[in-house]
Amino acid sequence: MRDQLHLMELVDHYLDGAMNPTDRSAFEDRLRHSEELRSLVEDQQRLRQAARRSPARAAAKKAYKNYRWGKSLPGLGVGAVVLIAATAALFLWKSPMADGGSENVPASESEYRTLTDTTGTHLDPLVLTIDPKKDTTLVTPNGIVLDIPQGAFLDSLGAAITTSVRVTLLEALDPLDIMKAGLSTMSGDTPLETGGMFYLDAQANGKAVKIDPAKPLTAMVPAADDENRKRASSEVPEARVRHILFSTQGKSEEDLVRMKNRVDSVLSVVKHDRSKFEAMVEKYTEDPGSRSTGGVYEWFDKTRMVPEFTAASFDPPVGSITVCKTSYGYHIVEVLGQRTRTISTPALNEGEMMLYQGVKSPDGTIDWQKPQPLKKSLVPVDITTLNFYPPGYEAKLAELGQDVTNKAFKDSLYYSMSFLSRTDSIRRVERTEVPREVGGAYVYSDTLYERTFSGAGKSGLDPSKIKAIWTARFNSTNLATKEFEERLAYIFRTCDNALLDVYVNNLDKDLYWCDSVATRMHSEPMSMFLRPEYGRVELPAHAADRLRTFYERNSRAEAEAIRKTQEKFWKEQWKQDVKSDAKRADHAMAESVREGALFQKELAANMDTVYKQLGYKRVQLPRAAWVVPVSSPGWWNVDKAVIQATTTRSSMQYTDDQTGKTATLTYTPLIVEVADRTSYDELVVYLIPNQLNSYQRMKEGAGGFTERLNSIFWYELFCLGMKGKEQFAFKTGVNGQAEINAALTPVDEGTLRRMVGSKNGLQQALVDEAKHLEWLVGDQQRRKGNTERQALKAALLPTVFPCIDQNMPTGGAEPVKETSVM
Amino acid sequence: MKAKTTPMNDAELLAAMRQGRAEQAFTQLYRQLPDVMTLVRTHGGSRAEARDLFQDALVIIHEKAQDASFRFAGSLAAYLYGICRNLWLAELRAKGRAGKHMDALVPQPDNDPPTTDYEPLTQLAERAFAALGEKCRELLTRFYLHNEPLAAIAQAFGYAGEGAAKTRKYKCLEQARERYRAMLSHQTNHSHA
Repeated sequence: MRDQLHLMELVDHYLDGAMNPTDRSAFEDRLRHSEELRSLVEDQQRLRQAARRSPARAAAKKAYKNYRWGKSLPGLGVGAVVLIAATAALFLWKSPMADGGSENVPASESEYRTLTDTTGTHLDPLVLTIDPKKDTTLVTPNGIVLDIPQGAFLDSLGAAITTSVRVTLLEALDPLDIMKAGLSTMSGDTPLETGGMFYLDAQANGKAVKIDPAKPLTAMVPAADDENRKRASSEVPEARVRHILFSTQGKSEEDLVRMKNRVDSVLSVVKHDRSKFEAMVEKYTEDPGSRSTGGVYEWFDKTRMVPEFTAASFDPPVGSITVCKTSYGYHIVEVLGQRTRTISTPALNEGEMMLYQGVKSPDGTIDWQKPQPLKKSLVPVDITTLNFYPPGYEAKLAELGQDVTNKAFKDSLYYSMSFLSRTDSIRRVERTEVPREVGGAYVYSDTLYERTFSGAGKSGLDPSKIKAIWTARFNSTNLATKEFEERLAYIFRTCDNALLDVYVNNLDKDLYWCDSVATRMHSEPMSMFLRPEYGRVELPAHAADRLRTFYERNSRAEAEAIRKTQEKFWKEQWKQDVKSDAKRADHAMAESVREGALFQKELAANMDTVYKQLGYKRVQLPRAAWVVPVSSPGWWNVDKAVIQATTTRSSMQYTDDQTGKTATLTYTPLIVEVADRTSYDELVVYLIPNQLNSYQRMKEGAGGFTERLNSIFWYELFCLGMKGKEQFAFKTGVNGQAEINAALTPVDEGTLRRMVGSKNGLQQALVDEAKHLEWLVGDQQRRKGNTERQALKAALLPTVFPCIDQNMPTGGAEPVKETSVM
Repeated sequence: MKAKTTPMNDAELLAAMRQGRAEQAFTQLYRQLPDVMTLVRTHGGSRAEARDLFQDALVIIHEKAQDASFRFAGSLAAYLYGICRNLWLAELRAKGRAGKHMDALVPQPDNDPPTTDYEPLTQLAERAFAALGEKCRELLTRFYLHNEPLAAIAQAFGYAGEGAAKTRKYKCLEQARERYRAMLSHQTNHSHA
């Protein structure tokens, strides 16, 4: 039994178009294979249709009777611009429900008179006589359409009136008319943004009639457009003053005379010297409300203060000091400022148009009560002006320091995350093709994918679905409305893609219809939108079907395209990483080979120098001989000392025991300080010993670049820097300075070659060095960009997919276990 | 201002049907009944059959009118007439006595109201629905026509909650289906007999 009920519910979902594509195709599959299910769907569809038809059937029966009785029908003229239709009781019309018993005639008579009193409105009443036995439709000059059903009017005994009824109508639709009529726009203490007012009175035989609650009149009021709404804002004059109060309350006649004198003298004091005003406030004022503020009352409008005080604050110009007398006493008032503030009157219920019933108070003003919603057609706007991003997406981007004014960027970033919501395929790709670790340094945070994956498809709305609907194609549909935008923010919170489908798949239905289906799916929060007045954007024939198909096909296609692009991108990045790691390794290798060779050359040169100083003839030793025991300890000693000095680049002094001759090698330290060192993406400093046809890199430390220079060589110093793609260079000779300050200048390749000079082979080597440097900077930027991109997405993940499992590990590059594959 | 005495135009008629003033619209459309009466009576039908047919056609139009994208060629009256013609043709076919009337009733391409093949079954469903208790009928109408949320329905009917309303709703639907199935098998047996 329960199963059957559940099945029928499922069928309802299916017939409502409320299933997501996956569920639906599964259901349709089932449908193809089960005769029983097929017949259930077919029957249920018919019975639903029957349910929907039954009121029409009843109406048709009644209509036949009307027709048989020969009741002709007065036509219904509808004004051209009818945006709001209201089924409602009437303005200025005593609610028939509130009337209570008909016995209480005198009371309701007088109440009736206050309600229907139109004196002083200066509006021309429209009076006409109608036959209450027929349906009647009235159209006013300003476009209010009033539909009076047959038998709507009841006499005081509750019986339908059959004699003619005199109807009086007043209308004030634009602000000017409303003002002319002296009609207020207040509901209690709240100002209303009015879409216009109308007044209706009906009498039969000179007596007031009631409206049958079962047959309410229908009024269609032209909707105020946005311009009218703007005009609903008002300009309010405000003033800012300070004052000193001399209270007259409880004072005797004598006191008052004395007080008046004091007021005059204080007035002359502050007029003479305004800086004494505060002191006078402190000394005299008896107004506890302004004592602590130096007598100042901040900006107030004309309604807040007693009339005399208002006059003293608004009438004289700014800067004047006057005395006024109020019920509190004497005030010395200085006008500190006057201004006009534009106040847009707040609309009740977030700008929704409501119909109010006016109740006239004894003082003649009208209080508008009992708001009733008006049904409205949705007004489509340009869909690209709406915001379909997940709530908080832009705020989060701004927080992350991204450019939120760039829509193309915001879109592509958001849509690219669609990849993350369809994780089944990603996981496969990532496992087989993207390595967890490359060169031990860069790991693309693939944990991102795994995290989303754990959300099992309920992580959040798929960005590709948003991409499919956020296009001009959906202009002039329910989706291109502020109302939908409002709903979407909440749909995002439910993380239910099927909920979005309900709205997109039912563009031919009222928003209210979609809201009801949505409420069945997610009563929280969707029920908040459930109000019958939400209509729809009228669509041309079949457009809804076409758009539905477009949406389904496109959101799938978009998702696939985004997936492919992302996959391709990261595959390419990975390839480049592998290449760049190899290149770095090659370069490092070449550098160490070069430095090894340089060391050998320098060692040989040192040996030559030392041997010359000692007066020995240098025997060229084959390299292998270094490990061979040598005959003379002196020789051995010399070699060792020279090798050590060369290796540690420190000075040495060696005295030969046999000859007494002394040999020295001198290494002196050099510090190179490069101006704005930190502003370069890459910076290297080479030392080029002039005799050796090679170069060496200076070590970079906190204080600059350092190296110890061998005094037997002349050195040239060559600095190369990169800022983005721009090259900078500096070259100088070293002449025994301990410190060099290098200021690099921008160079092109030609200049670079000239600077390096034409040493054999060295020129090309250094230019290659420069090229490598350039590549290195680019590659680092690429990697940095990738890391940042991943980090950005990771940071946005909880915003875009609010329902992902937050407990999943967030970082680290734990290898994926080859377990369950989707 | 004057009280309008001109009849509603087509757009107004459709609007009336959408806004729950079907009776008003139908009353005006009933002016087409004599034409349909003639059509049916000259093609082998009775007055009563014509009236039923006309009512069915109104219900169909009402249903179509709920869809904002509903468009038709020509006037609503002509469209209504077209539906009646197609309905009558289908009925004749079902009764196996289309014969000589067929040619005259062949649908005209420029004014092609909906196919009505399923109508007899839907009418059966309507009858099954009408045979339900009043509460069931109201509940299902509220749910399927007015799309009232279950919570509101539960409140209106005094059910304990949404769950109860939902169960109740499906029980009613189930009941309607049983009736419908019974009627269907009865009809099938009958026509075979």
